[in-house]
Amino acid sequence: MESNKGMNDGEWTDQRLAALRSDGDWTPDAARGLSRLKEKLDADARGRKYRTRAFVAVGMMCAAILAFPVTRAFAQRCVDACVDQTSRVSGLLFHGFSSRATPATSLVSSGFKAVGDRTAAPDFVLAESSGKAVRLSDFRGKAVLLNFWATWCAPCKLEIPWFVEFEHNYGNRSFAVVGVSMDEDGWKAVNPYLEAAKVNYPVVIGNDEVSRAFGGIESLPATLLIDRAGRIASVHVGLCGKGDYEAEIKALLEESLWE
Amino acid sequence: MNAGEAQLDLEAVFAAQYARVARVIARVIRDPARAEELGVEVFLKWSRKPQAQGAGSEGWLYRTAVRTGLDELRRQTRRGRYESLASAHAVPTPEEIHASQQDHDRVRAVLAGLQPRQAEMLLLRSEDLSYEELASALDLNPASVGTLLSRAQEAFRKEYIKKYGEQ
Repeated sequence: MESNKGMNDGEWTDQRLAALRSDGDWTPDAARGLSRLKEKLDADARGRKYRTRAFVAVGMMCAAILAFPVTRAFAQRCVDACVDQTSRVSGLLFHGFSSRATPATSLVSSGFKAVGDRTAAPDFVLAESSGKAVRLSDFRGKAVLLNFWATWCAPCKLEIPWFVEFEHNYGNRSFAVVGVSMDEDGWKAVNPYLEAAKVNYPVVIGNDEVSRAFGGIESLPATLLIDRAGRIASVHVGLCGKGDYEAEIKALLEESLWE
Repeated sequence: MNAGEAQLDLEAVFAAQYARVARVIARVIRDPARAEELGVEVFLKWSRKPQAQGAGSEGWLYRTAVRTGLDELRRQTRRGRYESLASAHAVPTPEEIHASQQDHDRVRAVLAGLQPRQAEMLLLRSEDLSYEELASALDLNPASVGTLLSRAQEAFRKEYIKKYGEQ
């Protein structure tokens, strides 16, 4: 190749790149190429068909599971078990090694207590967003699910739709859900979430005094099931299975008020 | 467009452009058999991308062909197989084969070391694309094609001289 220091960059580069053009008169085999392309397109179409069939099969399986109460209950138990296990693992990872996990003054989980073992829930009066006062003791006669939560707490937001559902399903059967938000930013943070999540039960903003009264709310979510006589039947700190809550609510509703 | 029309459209575009697409790739990678395979891949991508079809098809196909060729060239360079690839085209004498291959290899090695955008621009320009066609294929402002091309040529020359000296 001729060299020419006086050439400009364009001419110089064109001269070098022209080397790539010295491939003679090679012509690609278009018929072979088209046949390969058709094979690949057919393989693509087959793949799409298999994916569609697999999707339909999975959909039909889900529909079959949800169609019968027995299989639906089994699926619900599986989901609850997964949630429970995930909650335990995340609890171990995020709280298990922390000195803040279960300090002496923090609320801890308990199983569902027999009536004789229960202690009275501390009373409080806090205001809803509208200004309306909510007094816990006003719910005496109803089983209460008291949920401490915050908008920045992801597991809390996983549980809240369940509580909305409980309020909807059991709200007319001597049952009530009360939410206590522990958001430092107050209603500014809470109201948009309540609207978006269509929360159908009273929610108030908590404070340190209420936290201390319940033994120290150190981890969220923290949920208490309170019987119709105003006694704490169970405490759940951390994410809990929906089925577990529902079983306890049903058990509380079956109890006699005078037990 | 129904499936039959789409198939006809694909075949028509393939018949019109495949040879040029495969040749563009072959110039970059010096392996005609592989260039044919990659050319088919370019059309497969085109068929899956509705927004590439229509008026801008030709530019999209060349740009993708050049990119595909450069990607393959870089892969080959990395694998160290570059020097051992066989040339499939007949050249009159062994000396000419040697000289021609040496030129090819040097140009390809320099292109593989440039910024992908600059290498694409030089290769498309060497395919006789006009400034307007370059701008359309590479999605550039037509007013800046000249400047960008000059920079690419300057970069190519510097890289070539750095590697092989002024010849």
